[in-house]
Amino acid sequence: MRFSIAEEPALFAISLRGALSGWEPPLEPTLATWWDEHDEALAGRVEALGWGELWLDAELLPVCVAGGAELGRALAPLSLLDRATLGGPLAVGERVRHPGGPDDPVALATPGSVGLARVEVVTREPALDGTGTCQMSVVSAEPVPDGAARLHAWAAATLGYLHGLAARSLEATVSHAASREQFGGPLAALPAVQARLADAALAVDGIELVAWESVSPGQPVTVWRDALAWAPGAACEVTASAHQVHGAVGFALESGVHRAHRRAWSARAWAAEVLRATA
Amino acid sequence: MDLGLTHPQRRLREEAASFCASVRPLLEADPEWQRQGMLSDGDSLAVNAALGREGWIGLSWPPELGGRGLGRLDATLVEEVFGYHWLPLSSYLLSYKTIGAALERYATAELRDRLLPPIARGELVFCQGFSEPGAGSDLGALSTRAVRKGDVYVVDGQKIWTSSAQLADWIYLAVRTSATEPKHRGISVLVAPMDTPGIEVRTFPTLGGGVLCEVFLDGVEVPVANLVGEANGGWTVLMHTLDFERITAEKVGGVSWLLDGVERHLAEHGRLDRSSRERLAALRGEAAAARLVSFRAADALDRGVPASHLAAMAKLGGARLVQRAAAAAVELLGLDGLAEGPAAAVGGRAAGMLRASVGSTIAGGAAEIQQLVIARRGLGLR
Repeated sequence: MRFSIAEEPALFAISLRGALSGWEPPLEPTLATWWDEHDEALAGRVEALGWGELWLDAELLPVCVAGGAELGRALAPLSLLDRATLGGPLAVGERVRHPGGPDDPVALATPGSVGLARVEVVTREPALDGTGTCQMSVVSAEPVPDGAARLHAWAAATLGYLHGLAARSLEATVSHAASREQFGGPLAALPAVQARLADAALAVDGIELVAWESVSPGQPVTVWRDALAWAPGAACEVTASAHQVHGAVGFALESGVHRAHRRAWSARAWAAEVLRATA
Repeated sequence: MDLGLTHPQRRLREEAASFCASVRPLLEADPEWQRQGMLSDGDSLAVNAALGREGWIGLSWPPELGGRGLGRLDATLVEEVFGYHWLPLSSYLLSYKTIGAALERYATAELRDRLLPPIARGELVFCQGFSEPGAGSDLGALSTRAVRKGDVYVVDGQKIWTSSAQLADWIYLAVRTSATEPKHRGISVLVAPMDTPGIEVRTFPTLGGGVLCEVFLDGVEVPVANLVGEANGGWTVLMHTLDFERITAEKVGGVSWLLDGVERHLAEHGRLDRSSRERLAALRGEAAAARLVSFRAADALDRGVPASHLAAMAKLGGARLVQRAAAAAVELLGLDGLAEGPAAAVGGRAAGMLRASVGSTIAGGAAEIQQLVIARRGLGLR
């Protein structure tokens, strides 16, 4: 067992961080309207670094985790995960997120795998997060020989993303708690706040460790599936704690605190649906 | 990170599983084992002796002290296997994992050479006299006094919640040796044979299914040579001890066994639906996180880096997991989950763990203490 990150994925993460530097989630439209955060220019920048076709070699799985964590820290669009690991937008059941053009194939979750499918968008569905979710019908679908590898890469990147998202959320909250003065001292000095953030820290570290275990050589499929069954809920608890400690200020849209919370819940619901469809 | 096991680690765990199978008849004949809901609280001198005979105690100690020269991580990997097989581990955990670790680091060479080899052979069992009626998680409030008179300390006071005192050969005692020093100073650590005049033990049954003890100390004379660490410098020794105590991979092993058993029971009775599968998968994911957090803390101890907040995470993660898994097991099994005894679903362990799990966020430092350690030392919150 080695608890430090190997050089190659660590260096890739640094490169990806550079490409994401300065990028901010776009201003969103009114809540409860449809919007798609996919950013073609950002996608081009990360693809130029090699963030693509990550299912082709099992040795790239650690890159999925390390890169996913950087995307999560940036709250980058989930489309970047899907396209790099699945080869297209993710479709499960009767929904697709971040769909491309009408001729672009999507990755359709199927038992134990993903296949490539052509779909027809029926309705744009306003959703909790900027995932560009659409209800769709499948026009045609065919299996791909490396569908299971794509699914594993997607799970690894999603776990990494959840770690990055949760870590960002915790760090911002620790910083807020250290600077916000109430009751004659910083929030950070209050035992109730300390207890809540200790739980969050345990969750963040746990998510990171199960993400890396999911790509460690020789692990059965159940390892990433169990990790993905737990980690999204744990990330949601972290982001809920972020809201609680930020207090009313986080409730205002301009604070941005809610972005990680909505993204965590969005990732959670999609992960649960993928696990069901691929069982 | 590469969190897969190496070939030698896999082999070590397979050997440990074989050992567990070999002592199974000893366990099944023991009524306390049948009703014990928390494997780490259960005890058996017979199992401890077998552990010693087969070389499973003191894996991280050097061969000259009776060990195998492996790491704490290796020992922790094995402890998870022991947990999966529900070995009663109290003597092992006290004598090797926690007190043994402190003796290895802080005892005089003479004391270490005298005590560690018989511990490793399974011939000497320690209990730990930390908590008192007025000092539980607030260990610094302890008031058992040790007054030096010539070559001995004379100890008077009372310990409580002491595991395995009814079986132990020696006791590891936290005592106050200075009445004038501030709270966390003025504490020292002594070791003494349990047959020393003036030591009395009273057992009382607990919700977990076993017993805990009160230990009464009345004019107990302990040689000054039995001091562990420096006089009035015991707090450092105690904190070091707790870092080891708080790594609880054996609990994760017990939970994994329970989840496997619940799944099997539901499948055999046609009740393993999608909702149950999803709940079990999420709990297995949480168990994986708790297991890896424990392994990481053990790895940190092996590397000699500050591990207090990592060990606190291991303790908190394991304790919460036990409570959530036990509750889920009873909910999923329904009335089958309330049944106790070897003929019941999952051997009655769901109900047993539900009872015993109450103590998991209390013993060894309450969950709230672990949270403070994580917040202050890990996150720097002040």
